[in-house]
Amino acid sequence: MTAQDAMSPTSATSPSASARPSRPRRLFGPNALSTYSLVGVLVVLFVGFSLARPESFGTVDNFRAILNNQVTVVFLAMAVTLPLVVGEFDLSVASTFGLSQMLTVGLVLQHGVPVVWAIGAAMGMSALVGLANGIAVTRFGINSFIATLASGSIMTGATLGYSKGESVYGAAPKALTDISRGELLGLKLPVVYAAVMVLALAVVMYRMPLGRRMYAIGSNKRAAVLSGVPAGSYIVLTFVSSSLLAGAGGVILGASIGAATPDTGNSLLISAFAGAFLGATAITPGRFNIMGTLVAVYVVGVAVAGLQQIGVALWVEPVFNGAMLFVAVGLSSWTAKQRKRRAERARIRELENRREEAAV
Amino acid sequence: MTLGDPQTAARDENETLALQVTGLTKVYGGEVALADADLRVGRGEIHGLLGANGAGKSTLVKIVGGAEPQDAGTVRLGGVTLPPHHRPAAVAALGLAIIHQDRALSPGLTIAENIALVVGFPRRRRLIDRKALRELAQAALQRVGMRTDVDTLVSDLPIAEQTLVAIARALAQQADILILDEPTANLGAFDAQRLYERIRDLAAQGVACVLISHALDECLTVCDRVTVLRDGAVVASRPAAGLTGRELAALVVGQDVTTTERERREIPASAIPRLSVRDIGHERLVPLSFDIAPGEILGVTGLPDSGHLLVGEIVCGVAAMDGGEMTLDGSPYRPTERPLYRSDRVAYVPPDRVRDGLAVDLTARENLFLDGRTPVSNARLSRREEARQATAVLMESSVRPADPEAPLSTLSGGNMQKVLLAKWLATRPRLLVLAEPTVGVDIGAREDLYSRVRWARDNGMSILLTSSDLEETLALSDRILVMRYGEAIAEYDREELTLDQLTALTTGTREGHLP
Repeated sequence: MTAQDAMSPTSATSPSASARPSRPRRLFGPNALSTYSLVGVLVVLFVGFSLARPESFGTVDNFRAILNNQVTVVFLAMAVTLPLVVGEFDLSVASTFGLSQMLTVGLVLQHGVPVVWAIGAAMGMSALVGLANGIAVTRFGINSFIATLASGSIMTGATLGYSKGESVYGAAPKALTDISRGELLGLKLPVVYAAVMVLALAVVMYRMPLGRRMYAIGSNKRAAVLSGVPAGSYIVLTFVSSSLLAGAGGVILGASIGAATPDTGNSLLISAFAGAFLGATAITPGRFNIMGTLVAVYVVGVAVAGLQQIGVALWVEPVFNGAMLFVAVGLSSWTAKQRKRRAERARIRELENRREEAAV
Repeated sequence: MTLGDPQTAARDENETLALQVTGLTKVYGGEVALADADLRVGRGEIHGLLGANGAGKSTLVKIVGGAEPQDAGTVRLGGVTLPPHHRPAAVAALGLAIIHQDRALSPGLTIAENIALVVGFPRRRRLIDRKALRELAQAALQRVGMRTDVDTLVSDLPIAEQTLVAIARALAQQADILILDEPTANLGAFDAQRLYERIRDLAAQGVACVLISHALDECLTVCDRVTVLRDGAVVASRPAAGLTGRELAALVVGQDVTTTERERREIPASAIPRLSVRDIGHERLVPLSFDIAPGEILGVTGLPDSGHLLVGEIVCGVAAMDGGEMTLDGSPYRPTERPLYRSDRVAYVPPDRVRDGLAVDLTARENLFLDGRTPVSNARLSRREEARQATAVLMESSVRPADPEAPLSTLSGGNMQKVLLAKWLATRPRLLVLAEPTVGVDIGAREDLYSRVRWARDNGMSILLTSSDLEETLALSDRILVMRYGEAIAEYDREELTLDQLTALTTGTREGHLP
């Protein structure tokens, strides 16, 4: 199984495309509904909850809190989106995230390692994990789903071993907490980091040849190779980037709470995938894409925050995340089917026209 | 160096050749794949490279393209001799491009993105310059006479246009020698014709084209010269003008081919047709009716998209039927309400054998006995008995090698198709629906398949042949139903039709079809 099979964003075809008029990228094209529907959902959720709980939900503080709380999920969702673009799964990102957080906090608090070195160690570890994943997939031909499931499990074990199963907390030095507790333009620093990261990824993926080549690999790897794209190196690079994003997420969370528990991360994996798959139905529908993932993460985040403030129980969040994953994948195959239907109808019309012409 | 020196003259001629292959030899573990093969292609020449599967065509192309090193011999491109272990990039730099049968495009990207993937993305301040990208792609498409919007996804294009995009992309890379591997394999006569017109235009501009194809007659009309490979050796390299289709087929196969012309066959009159179809509907079809007698082959043909394949799909329940009725040997038959049962004894050989027809990772025996029962009765078989029966079936169908334990993926396309047909014939179906039975199958295997189909017919099975290959339809059918734009426009006895007439019927008026 590849990531592409899971959703097959490109499976819808319309043979009558030659009849389609020139399509410069318009703000409201024929796909406007699917392009912006998720943004619409986000607005509706936000307004709805604000009206329901004006005193708690509809406040600037709450808005800032939601932005900030979702930063870790944003990092992880981007970390799973990149491999999905090249047609691979990365299930190890949650464990990389957890280990990175544990290393950063543990090294500083328990071993007195300078903050810079601790962060360097966490990021270096992340890069190595990504490299190992990439080599396992490209060199040894191990299915990425399995390879990253395995490496993730190994890292979960490493986290437990390092922490001996205990949470790490205590008086965090200011040098560590400064990374996350400052503000810029009224936004908490983690939000700023996430914004810069997303913007950079968006430029690379939407506007640079590197991004196009990654989509080419995901769309048809052999064709990409024959076109001169070194697919293997790109896939390794993608896994390294993915792990680095996860590692950075871990560092930022560790810095902002100044503590680490051995079991963070894993519960976030489902949110990350829900974001990536739901995001593939928006902005550039049919493709896993950066802005779509971003919007999707906040749709889920706002919904969960809103539900919690209305006062629903704790179990709602994982259930909601799982349900969103179903909805996301269901929605994308539904839109693919709709596209197919549209193409089919166009074909029938064309056949009718030709019959008429032939009859004349 | 004096003028008229024969060596100089020879050198001059070599300079003008676009591609010159001399004495190319390749041995794979004792098996000679290519033996001292020569190929000379001039500028602006369309050169057919022909041969049965396994004759060495793909080995030659692999070596020329730099995917495999040769054991002996030289490759010269535009007067430059390539080193024995050249890289694909070196070949591309000398202007050679190979258009593979699957065209090697990225379906999820747009035309423009696919072209830029190989020629480079135009950039402004490091970012992709979308305007320049579109212009570059439009210019590339113009050379192959396409005016499609370059922001169209490749997956949204018809196959013929995808091939043109692949060619346009090669030309945009300054290629002036094209190797086209089966460019018309999945195309109907009309699209193939259009593609050949474009290739002729390119040749007129000086582009050298090597055309690999199983469609021998097409090659004779398109090519300037043909080179025929058999068992790794060149058996002929001649101008196409002096050859007939029959001579060419004999060169390819190595013996005179029993021609597919047949005497008139009397269909035994039968009160009850095997399959009777009345006004079956589908949104892409004008309701249609026909009968097939026991022991008769009805060919339904047309251009791709004319609906002829859909007719077969409806008859065996792959596509849903919308109105109308069918009877099988006089009793009501409605395959869409439930999956096909063995008791119906209706068999379907789908057009895409690898995707829909066979489990290619399993062995021939496992494919023949997928549910572990004998095809005809419900008895379970011992493994030894299975192997014995499988060998017999494979021999009967001239599958080579007739090894029941060979994984199907190791067989050629033609032999896979023989296994697929054998699997269904072993169930002794009352009605056999064949869809595009010989796409990508070489001429030798094709004759083997045809003789099995005729054998089935002569043993009382009825056959609904849905094929876009007009020659095949003429060769096999007793009666022919011609479809156009989803409508059955005519029904003929086979004897009433010539290939030219059938071609005219399927394509209709040109103006009516050109997009």
